[in-house]
Amino acid sequence: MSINKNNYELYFINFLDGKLKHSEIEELNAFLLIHPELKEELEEMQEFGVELISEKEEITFNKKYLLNKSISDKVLISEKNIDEFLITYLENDLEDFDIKRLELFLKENPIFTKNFDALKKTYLKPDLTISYKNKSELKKFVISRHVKMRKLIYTSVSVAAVITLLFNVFLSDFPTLNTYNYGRKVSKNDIPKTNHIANQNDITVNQDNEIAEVQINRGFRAEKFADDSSLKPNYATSRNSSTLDLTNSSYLAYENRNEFSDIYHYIKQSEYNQIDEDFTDVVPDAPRKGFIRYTAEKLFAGNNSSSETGEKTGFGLWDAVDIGTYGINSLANKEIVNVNVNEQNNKRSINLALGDNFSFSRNNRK
Amino acid sequence: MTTAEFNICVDKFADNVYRFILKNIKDEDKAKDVVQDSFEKMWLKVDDIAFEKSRSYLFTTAYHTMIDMIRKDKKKSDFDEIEPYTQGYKQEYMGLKEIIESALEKLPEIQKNVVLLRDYEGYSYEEIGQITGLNETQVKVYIYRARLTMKNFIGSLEKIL
Repeated sequence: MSINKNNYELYFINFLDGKLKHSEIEELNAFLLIHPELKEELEEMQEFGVELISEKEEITFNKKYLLNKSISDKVLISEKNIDEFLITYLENDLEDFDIKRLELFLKENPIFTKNFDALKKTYLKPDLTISYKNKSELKKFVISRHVKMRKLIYTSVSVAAVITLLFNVFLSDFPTLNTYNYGRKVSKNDIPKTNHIANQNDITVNQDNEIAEVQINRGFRAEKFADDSSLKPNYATSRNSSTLDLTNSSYLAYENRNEFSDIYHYIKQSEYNQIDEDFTDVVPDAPRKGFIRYTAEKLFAGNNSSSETGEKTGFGLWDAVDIGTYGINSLANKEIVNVNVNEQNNKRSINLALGDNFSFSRNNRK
Repeated sequence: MTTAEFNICVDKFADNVYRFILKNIKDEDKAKDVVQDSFEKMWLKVDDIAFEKSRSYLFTTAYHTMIDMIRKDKKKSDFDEIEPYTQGYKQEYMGLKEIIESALEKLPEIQKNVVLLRDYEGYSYEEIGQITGLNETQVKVYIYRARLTMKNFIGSLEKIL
């Protein structure tokens, strides 16, 4: 910092207090040579003739007898500088011995207490009734600032993949199979009429009186039940199809499909190894079937291991990723995406193979 | 600083910043704008600012935002050749509070700011220097000059009244 017209008063004060270093005193002398008009101001502050000194000289006062030497030999408190002392005092910037000198001065010169009172009034107090009303508008709420963006991206991609594939599976022509072939020895008349098999002529039998083909109204699906009758009641009770005679029928035509329920029953029956084989011709799209089973297992099996620790925690991020991965690979009929698990540290990573010469991999942790 | 700490800052300092700015620019809407801008700026750097430094950062940001606003308004005022509003005082109804307010208005902008930061917020010379971009000595001198000016103004008004 160097002395200038904005701060020279402080230099004067510090000089009179004897707080300036030698270099600063030299700077002050140089400043006064440039601004001689200010020398008069300094002399007024000195009042009793504090002389400008060089670095080798000492501060001297012409009227030291006016000072209370037992307290300080610094500048004398006077009418000229009482405000400076008072302000410094009120700013809590006055040293202890100067405070005592000031108190003594005010005691001996009570007229100056009005200066003290006046200066005290210059201290402002905030109006606490003034407040900012809409603090809630300033506040921020973040769901989780610490979720890494790449994790969000993978989650989004996985969920999007699942949704896309589900739409692909269920909104396509899957439910509208026209032909249902099977070979079962049964009389044509044994087949009950339903609202979906309205005409007996829709049923074709072969020479051995086996049902060769059944035409199903478009928009509905006929499913052959497993021969294991124990499955029928469970399956049937989930249907709202009063037109079906379940005891005599091996058909189940239904509407108002509940996709999840269908998947579940489909899988349940698959567990008995009865649907897979029989439905090969009904559901020729093997990847779809596999995807449905895989999804259902993830959704309903209750043994999802979402965390790296292998704890069963329900459906989680990595289950969605697995489903998405399975679906994408099934659709593409090749392994585009795979999820690797490092057995040593149990970390998972998603690998995306876009070609023979390029792959992209991200770990699920930092 | 976390989001929760940011919201604590809102609760703790929004009023103080608002009072400080409002005292300077005397316009509630503009003072609110400054407060909002200041918190938005802090939010943008929320990861870089320590919670302990948030108050100082807020006041520094608010101070500079306010100065920019005052300069813009002044330019606009000059352009429109509108006479600047000089606040007078009604002598017959003036109490001490109004007198002090008038005295404060008499101060140059920078002196008013350092006094407000000193009295309203209890900032040290060094902290005021950091907020206003002044050095510690300049802050001391400005405060000293401001006190003297206010004291003389208050004294002269009290004599009149």
